[in-house]
Amino acid sequence: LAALALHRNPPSNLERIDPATLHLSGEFTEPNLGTRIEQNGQVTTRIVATQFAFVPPCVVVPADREVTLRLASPDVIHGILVSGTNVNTMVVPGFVSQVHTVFRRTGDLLMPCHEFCGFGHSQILARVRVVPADHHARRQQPPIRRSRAMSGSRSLHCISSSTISTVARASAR
Amino acid sequence: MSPLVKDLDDKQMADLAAYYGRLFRGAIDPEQSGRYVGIDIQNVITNGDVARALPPCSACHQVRAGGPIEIPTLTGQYAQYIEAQRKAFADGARHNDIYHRMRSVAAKLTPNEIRLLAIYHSGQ
Repeated sequence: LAALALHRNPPSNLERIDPATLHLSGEFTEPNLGTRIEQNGQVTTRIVATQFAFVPPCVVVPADREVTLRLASPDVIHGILVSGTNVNTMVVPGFVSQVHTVFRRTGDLLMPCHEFCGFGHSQILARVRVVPADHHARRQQPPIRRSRAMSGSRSLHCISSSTISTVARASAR
Repeated sequence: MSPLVKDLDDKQMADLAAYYGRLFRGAIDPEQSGRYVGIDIQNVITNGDVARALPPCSACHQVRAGGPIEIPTLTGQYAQYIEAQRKAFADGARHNDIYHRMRSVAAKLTPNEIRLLAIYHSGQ
């Protein structure tokens, strides 16, 4: 009852998707990945977990707003967690994994794969960049790559890869 | 290649793919390659580089490594061709890899690494 009252639900929904055609059409094509503000105001971040990377390798999300993470895999089972948050789910080919969360603190968070997915598993390390909600709404913070494919706002994700190396080295110490 | 395949129908293409897919693919064996590329390159091949989020080459290109099914076997390919294709992936001139798999890897490699890896992967 407490879980229901606090809206703590199972981390995923039962939603099927064809892994063989994931990249060809629908919400998980490359231009649609990243964070998007839907027409109803909902913030949705779409990520593909694949061998051997998360795509995009860095996503930008607003702080203090409910964010829906939607993940899919075109190949094998992966796992995803965002350090210091309640985001922790498996990504199973054939299904869309969905997690709702609110990021309270701004900054970069590590997002490793936590399900062995092959010999390159330990190199799957992405990050979530949490920015103030007003910055995110204005979408002015560099570096951001924008693309337009679905209705609603543009997808946002980082393009710099330098920070991930810094974060990885810091975490290795 | 275009003139050779332009008249093939879908079934013929599928049959050819099935035929070539069943041919023996040589394993990339550093002991057998006879082309020493240095310990740093060997590390990239077998271990990758966590600092660059660079997966090991062998994770996908080694036979029966368990990587994505569309990954090609490189053994026996010309080193010059492999190097040229990796450079094309690195600068985005070639972009037919699904979900940036090879573009994201090639962009993290130095020109010297690309050259030495091509030498390694071409050898048997």
